[in-house]
Amino acid sequence: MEELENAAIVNRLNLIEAMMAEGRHATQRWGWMFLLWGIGPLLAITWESHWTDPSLAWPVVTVMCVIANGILIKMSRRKEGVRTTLMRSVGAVWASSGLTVLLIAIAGTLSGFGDPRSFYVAFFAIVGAAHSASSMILRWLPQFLAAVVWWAATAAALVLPPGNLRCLSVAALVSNVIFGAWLTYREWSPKNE
Amino acid sequence: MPELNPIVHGPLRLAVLSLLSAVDQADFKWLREKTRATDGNLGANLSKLEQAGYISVKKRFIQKKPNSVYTLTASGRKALVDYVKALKTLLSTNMTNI
Repeated sequence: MEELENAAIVNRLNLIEAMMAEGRHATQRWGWMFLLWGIGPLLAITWESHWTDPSLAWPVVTVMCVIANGILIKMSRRKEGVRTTLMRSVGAVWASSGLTVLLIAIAGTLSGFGDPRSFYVAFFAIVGAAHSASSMILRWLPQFLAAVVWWAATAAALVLPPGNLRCLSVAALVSNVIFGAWLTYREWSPKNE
Repeated sequence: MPELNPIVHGPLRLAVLSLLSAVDQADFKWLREKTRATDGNLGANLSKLEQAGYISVKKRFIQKKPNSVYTLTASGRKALVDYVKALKTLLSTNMTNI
């Protein structure tokens, strides 16, 4: 190996640093997920309140959302062509939170001990915690504000009369849709390409 | 004087190893985009790294098109770390000799 000049060594070190930074900055588009999991439950609530066979609303909409989620994740992974630890961490937070909410909902329904208020409190708190964990992993303040909204909904669910819990849920889900729409716009705007 | 690993030393191979060290896995298209290399050049250098056991490849088909996904192996990570250490030692030796 020929002897390397200092400039050449520094160039190599800069190349390594620049490439590692490129890898670390690889991002994934998440906005669609907040839209899906905001619009889906809103659809289920609307179906449950106004359409026929209300008992089918949550099972049908949840299964459809899970299938759509799986397809969209697969498509986005193919398109992005890269997986990072950061992406895996955020994905793990949301997958675990989603499974926990699903487990509570199914177990509560099947056991017959499912108290609506307890479910809303657990649901809002888990989504708030997931937003907060994501914001800390990504070091992204706007998502922490989304967590604060869900935690505020958690506190409100503990004090509001039972009749208002559905309205509170709609408000929290609408905030999720707004966050998802803003995030999607941000991710797809040309300056972020 | 520390020896620089000739496999890691190639600029494109060094760029690929550095990129893969910061991600879990990446496909050919992403690596080509980041390194701005041609298909042939990148393919040849990826083969060298694979033969050296520094990266592993998983080949699959997406909509009937081949797609190769690359991952840095433990020996690839060690080779990169050793290379950086060697570069730093060389740099400090050169500075001392000035």
